[in-house]
Amino acid sequence: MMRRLFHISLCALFAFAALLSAKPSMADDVLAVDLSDRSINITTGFNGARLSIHGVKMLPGDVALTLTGPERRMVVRRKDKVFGMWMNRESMTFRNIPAYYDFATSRPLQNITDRAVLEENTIGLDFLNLEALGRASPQDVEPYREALIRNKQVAGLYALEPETIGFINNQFFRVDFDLPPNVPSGEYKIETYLINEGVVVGRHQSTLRIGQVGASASIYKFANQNEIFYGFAAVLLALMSGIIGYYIMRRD
Amino acid sequence: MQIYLPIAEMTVPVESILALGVAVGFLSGVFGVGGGFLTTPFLIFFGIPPAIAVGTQANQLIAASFSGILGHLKRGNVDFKLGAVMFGGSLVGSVLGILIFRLLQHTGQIDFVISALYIVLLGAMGLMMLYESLRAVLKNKIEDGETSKLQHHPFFLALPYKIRFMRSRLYISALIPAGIGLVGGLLVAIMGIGGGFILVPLMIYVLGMPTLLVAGTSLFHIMLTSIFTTLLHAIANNTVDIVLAFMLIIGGVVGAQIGTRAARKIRGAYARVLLSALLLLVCCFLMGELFIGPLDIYHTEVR
Repeated sequence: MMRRLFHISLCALFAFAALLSAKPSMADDVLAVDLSDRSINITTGFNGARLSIHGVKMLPGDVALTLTGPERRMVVRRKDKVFGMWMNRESMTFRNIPAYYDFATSRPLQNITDRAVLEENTIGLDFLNLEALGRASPQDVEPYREALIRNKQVAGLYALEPETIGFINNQFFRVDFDLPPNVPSGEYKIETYLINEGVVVGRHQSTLRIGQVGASASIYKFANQNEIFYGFAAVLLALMSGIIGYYIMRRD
Repeated sequence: MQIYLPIAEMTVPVESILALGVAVGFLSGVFGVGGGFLTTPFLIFFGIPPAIAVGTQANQLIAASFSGILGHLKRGNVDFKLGAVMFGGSLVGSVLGILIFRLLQHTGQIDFVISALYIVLLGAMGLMMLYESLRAVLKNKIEDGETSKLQHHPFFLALPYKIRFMRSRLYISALIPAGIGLVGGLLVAIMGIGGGFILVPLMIYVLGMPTLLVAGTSLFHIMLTSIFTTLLHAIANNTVDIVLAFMLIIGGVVGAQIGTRAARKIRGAYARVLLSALLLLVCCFLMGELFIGPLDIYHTEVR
C-alpha cells in the first residue's frame, strides 16, 4: 500500500517535472533579466527614479528591450485659426496607448533586424501599435499619430532615442532608464529580446509596478473611494486654515 | 524642493506654488481682491490640468474668504440674509457651471473658453479701473462714489418676489441678488475665481446696497459658493487636490500679511493703477497665447 502510493506520487512528480521542462520555449534558458526594483514607489517627495536592468544572455546576438507603461485612451486635438484665434477643432481618439514608452538596444535598430520583427514586437516608436478609433484613412491618422508621439516626447513620457545597452562581457548586459517625476502610475511591462541574425531567439518578460505610497497614496485613495468625505475634509481644512490665518494676521 | 501632488499626479516645485500663494495673498492684502484671476492661469502654466486648477482654486477660496469674513464680522458688516439669497442663485449657477465645464472639456474647448473669459473680464476691469484711478491720481482728490443707481430702473422695479433686507435697508425683488449669485456661481465653477471684482460693482450699482456692507456680504456669498463648488468638484469630478490647495493657502496667509502692511504705505489711487496694470498684463499674456498660436498645433490628453 505504502509502496504503491510512493510509486504514484513519484510518477506524478516526474510528470510535473517533465511538464515544467517542456513548457518553457527555447527562449527562457538563453536569456535572464533582473530589475533593480520590483516596484517603484511614488512618495510625497518623488522626483523621478532610476531603474537599472541587468541581464545575461547565453547565445550570441543583439539585445533589445522595451519598457511599456499602462494603457490609456488618449485624444489628440488639432488647433486651427478661427477668427484669428487658435481653437481646438478636429480631434482623433486612440485607444490602448501606452502612457509611457522607452526602449533600449545594443546596436542601432536597423542593424539588428527588419521591420517585420520590430513591428511584431513593437520595438521602437515607429512600430508602436497606436489604434485610432473611428473610420479614418491611414493618411488622415498619420499626422495625429505623429503628433501623439511628439507630444508624449515633449512631456518626457516617450523615448527621444533608444538607450544603449552596455555589455560588461559577452554575456552580461546592463541598461539604466531614468523615469521622470511625472511617470504615470500603473503596471509596466519590460520585454527583453535576444535577436540573432535578424531572428528573435530568446525573449523574457518582467513586470514593474509604479504607484503612489505613503501619505500621497492615502490621499489619492481617500479622494477616489470616499469622495463625499474627502470633499468635506477639504472644506474643513480650508475653513480651519482660514481661522488660523485670520488670527495670525490680527496679531500685529 | 519638489512635492508630488496626489490628485494631479505630478510633481511641482514647492517654492513656486508658495510664491504664487504669496503673490495672490499680497494682492488680497493690498487691494482686497481675491486674486484667483492670477492663480488659475499660472497653475495651468505650471502644467496642472485646467480641471484640477479650477477645483483646487475653489477649495483655496474657502480659506481666503473665510478669514476675510471674520474681520468684517467683528464690525458687523455682513448682510447674511442678502448673502443667503445670493447663494440660492449661485447653487443653480455652480451646478450649471460644472455641467458646462464638463461639456466643454468633452468637446475640447475648455482651455479656449477659460482664456477667452479671462481676457474679456480682465481686459474690461483693467481698463475701467485704469481710467478711474488715473483720473483720481491726476485730479489728486478722492472721488465720491457715483450715485447713478441702477436699481431704480423700471425693469428691476417690476420684478416679482420683493423681499425686505433690513440690514442693507433695501426692499427689492429677490431675483436680483439671486441673479447676481448665479453669475458668481458660474464664475467659481468655470473659472475657479470668486469673482469679487465683478460681484462688488454689481452689488453697488444694481442692488444699490450700502458700500460698507458690500465687501463682507460678497465674501460671505463667495465662501458659501466655494464650499458648495468644492464639494461638487470633489464628488463629481475628483479634481480637488488638498496638497496643492494647502500650499496655496499657506502662501496666501503670508502674502496677505505682507500686503496689509504694504497697503498702509501705498496711496489707494496709485495701488489701483498698479492693480489695473497687472490685470491688463495678465490679459495681454493670455491674448498672446490665443492669437499668436501654440508651439504645436496638436495637443494630446488622456481621456
